[in-house]
Amino acid sequence: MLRRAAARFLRHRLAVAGAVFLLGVTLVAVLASVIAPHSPYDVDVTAFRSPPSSAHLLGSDLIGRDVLSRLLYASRVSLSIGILASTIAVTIGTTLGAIAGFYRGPLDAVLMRLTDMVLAFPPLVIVLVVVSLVGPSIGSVIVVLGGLTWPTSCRIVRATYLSLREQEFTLAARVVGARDRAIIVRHLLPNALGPVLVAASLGAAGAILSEAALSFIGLGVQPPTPSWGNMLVDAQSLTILRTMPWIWVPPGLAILLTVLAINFVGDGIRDALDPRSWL
Amino acid sequence: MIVFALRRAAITIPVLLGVTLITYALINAAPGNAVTMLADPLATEENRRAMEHALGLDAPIWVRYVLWLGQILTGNFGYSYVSNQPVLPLMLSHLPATLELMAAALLIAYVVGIPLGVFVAVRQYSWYDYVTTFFAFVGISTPSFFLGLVLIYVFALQLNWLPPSGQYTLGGSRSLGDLLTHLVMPAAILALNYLAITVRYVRGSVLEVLGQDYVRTARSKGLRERLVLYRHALRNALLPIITLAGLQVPSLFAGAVITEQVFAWPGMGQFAIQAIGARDYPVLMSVTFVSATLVVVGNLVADLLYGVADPRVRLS
Repeated sequence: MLRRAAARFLRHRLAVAGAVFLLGVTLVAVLASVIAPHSPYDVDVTAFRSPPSSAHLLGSDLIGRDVLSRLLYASRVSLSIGILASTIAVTIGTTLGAIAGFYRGPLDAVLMRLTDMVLAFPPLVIVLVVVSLVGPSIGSVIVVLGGLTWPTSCRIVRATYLSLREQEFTLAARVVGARDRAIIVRHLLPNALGPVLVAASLGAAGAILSEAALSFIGLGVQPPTPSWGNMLVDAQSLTILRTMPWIWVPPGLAILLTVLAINFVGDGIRDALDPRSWL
Repeated sequence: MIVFALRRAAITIPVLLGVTLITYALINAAPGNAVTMLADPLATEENRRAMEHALGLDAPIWVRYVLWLGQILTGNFGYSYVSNQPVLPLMLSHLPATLELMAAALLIAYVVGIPLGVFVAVRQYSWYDYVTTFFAFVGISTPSFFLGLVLIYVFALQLNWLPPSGQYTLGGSRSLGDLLTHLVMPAAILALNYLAITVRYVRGSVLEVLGQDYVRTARSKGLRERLVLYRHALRNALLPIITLAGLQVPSLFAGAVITEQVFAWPGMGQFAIQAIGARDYPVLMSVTFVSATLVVVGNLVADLLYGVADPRVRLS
């Protein structure tokens, strides 16, 4: 079944392109210290605000740091926030969603009201408030995003478990005397893998966008650490926006392309693991 | 219908209470309080404690929560730590600008999104369909503030067609035309995400309805395709849009916060971000609470409207 799914995924050309792009970004993030022409923190006193040149391929920023090097190093921040925040969210969401969907009844009702409460807060607003309380840093952005975005995957997993628990193989597992825990983890979870992966990809895309927005407002990753979001902060000044596009266009495109690639991969996974979409 | 409405409304009460609880707990987790903000840095510990007592900050947290909840219910959202003015009128003065922005964005999303969704649905797997799908993905993947900067760069700074920021020209006539030229860019940016989702949703919904038996019946009666599509299929296909609107209220509001920041739009988002900068917790608490309440009420209204539009929902 996995081989068939892989074959279907490979037929989704945009998903494959997205996967290749993400692999490239991951390599860049891992090898940033090797491939970056300069240190992301070093100030070149001969080149403040200089346009792209052979010394600085993407130019330099307001205080003379190399934009390309900062862009490459920033991929580390954005990717780790995307991956870690989404892992936290999916872990919490899958655990609670599986419990709610499997047991139903009052436990389900309580958990669903809890997700309703968290979902009632506009996503970015609540993240802004919490980050401003705990203090902005890479760690706090990851924990806050992960800790507040789990209801999405929780709902998806719950819905999957609600239908899985009614199927014969669940009954069969129960008949041979499997415990609840074994049924939830060993028998049902592999069947819920598709929705979980889709939720994870959506979560990662959302986390990268949220980090960028938070850093843009000044409440995310703090300078001098480069992140794609905080590299755009300077563009809030109309003069810089008008005269120095090399400072703000590359990080913006980096966010756009990375998130787009993740969304294509997510769509590819959904198509590949959902046989109905091929009927 | 009344039973359905009451049952649906009843489950929002615990959610709203939970929202107040979470909001209050959050703000109390904050380092520092009004005294840190207001007191003279040279004040003695004794003076600080007297001040805390005067402000009621030394009572147990549940007492402060219950008092706060009681005040909220009577419309008293407290006083801003910064301006010492009551929060509610301050907030209400910022609300219309945000609602204006959200309404304009919704309008753009529907006026463009619904026809486009229907258009590509009847041309499934065509070139149009693929291009639209591709751009829908771009739409949900673009950071709104980046696209906002691009639009400002192109339309305000290079072409000089539109003002880069604000709601009205400073010292201008505050006319409707002036408002619209300021509104078009932020509204388009805010609409983008929702537009992309609407197109995908309408497309899927129309395709599903077109596959149903009653559509085949309509076709086999010999009705023209236009009539089948617009008179029979579309009515049912557009029903889920009501739910979608309810579900999208939170992200629309969150999007407005960022959009307002980019375009210096004087709404709730700017108000909240200023409050964060100034550690103005009564304001922050109120904005968070009011936005969450808007979301819960928005979902309730959407569900009730769906119940009115589609009687099947009321039975389940």
